[in-house]
Amino acid sequence: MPAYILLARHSKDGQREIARDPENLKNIRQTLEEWEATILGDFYLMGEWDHCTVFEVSDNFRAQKAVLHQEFTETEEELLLPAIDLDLFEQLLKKEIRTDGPHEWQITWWARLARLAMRWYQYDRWIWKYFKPFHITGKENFSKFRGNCIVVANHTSHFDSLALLGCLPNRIRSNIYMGAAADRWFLRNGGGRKELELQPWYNSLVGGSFPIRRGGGSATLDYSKWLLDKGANLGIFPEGTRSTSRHMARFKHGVSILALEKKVPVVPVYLNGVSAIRPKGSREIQPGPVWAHIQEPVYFDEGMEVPDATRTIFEALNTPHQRALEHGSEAGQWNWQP
Amino acid sequence: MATYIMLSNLTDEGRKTLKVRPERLHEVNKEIESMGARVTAQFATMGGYDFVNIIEAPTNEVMARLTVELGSRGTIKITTLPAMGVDEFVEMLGADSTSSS
Repeated sequence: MPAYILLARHSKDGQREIARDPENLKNIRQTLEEWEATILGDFYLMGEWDHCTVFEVSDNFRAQKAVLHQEFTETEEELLLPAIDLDLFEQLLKKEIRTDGPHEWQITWWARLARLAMRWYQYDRWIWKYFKPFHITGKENFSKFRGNCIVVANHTSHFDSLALLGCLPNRIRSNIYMGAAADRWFLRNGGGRKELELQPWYNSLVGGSFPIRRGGGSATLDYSKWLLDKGANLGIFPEGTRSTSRHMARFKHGVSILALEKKVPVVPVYLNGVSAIRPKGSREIQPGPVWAHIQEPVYFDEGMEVPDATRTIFEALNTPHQRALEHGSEAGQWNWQP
Repeated sequence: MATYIMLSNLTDEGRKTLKVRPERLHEVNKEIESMGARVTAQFATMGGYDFVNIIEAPTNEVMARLTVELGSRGTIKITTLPAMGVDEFVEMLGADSTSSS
């Protein structure tokens, strides 16, 4: 989990309050804990700053929100510093950060044939081994349109791509390309790790994935647009990264931009149970039930604004998610009735 | 052992050194230990400071020597703040107010 350092300076009133009741010094820690932060260290300082709290919380957004929501009656200034453990920082400095790809040859007939031949090895054997059982509902929603589409899903585990590919009908599956983080899956020379040197090439050919540069702006969508123009389907996790919270993270706008510009439907697939099989940060894999609930395709009206489209996609996945939280995994079905 | 929070910023020279030799980060820790102090936690940060280090040292003098030694190389600018665990500090303030009343 990401770490943060909060430096705070007390106001005169704050110092008075602390002198009156020293327990007030613990307010910062308590408020952070209310926002699900784990406190690693809490210090009173002498000098330029008065207070230093080291804590972990799920993401930048939550950390900032926790700080904003603090009733900092005792402080007049705070400085929130996102922190990286020094060992990790050293590794990052040594790491190759240039990336390879995308590889346009991945849509050629021979690449698709190779992918088909490798399907069992790459995906299906894991589904067979760990998804026990694998429930798929709403497959009929794919027959409600012709042509290509963008398939989106919630993201909590590396196994989500297996679940997503595993639930698709052959028409879509045989010609789908999955967006993957460039800085994780497409590092040139395997990011300095010899055993991963062929990773970008392998991911393009066998995984059918293409690199998405985080924070890369609109240029990062060029290849996705090219794929859609070529009649390919796209698979994207619009949260951008795996979520560790019970709530879905905010969606990036990329899918909306693509769907609006290329006028293709978006098919939301609500995945449930995958995070229990291999949660984020874990290397252990536990077999368990997985649900893939395919929702109705979402179409956008001409002239719709990008944020509105993103909100629509979010709601299309968040609604079954909320139902599943309340009534169990089966309630994530598109046509579920209480 | 007393606790100190050391906030540091890299100079241009320091940034160049780090880019070429990232392992310098850990060599510095060994030097700190050889001067009688100990790094208990260390973070690279984004924002007003580049690094935040939590260091334990026996006296202010050891800490002062250490900051002069590290600062003299021209690769970092250091702000050192004596620190105390909040619980400990609250307890101390509580004890003071009891004894004065």
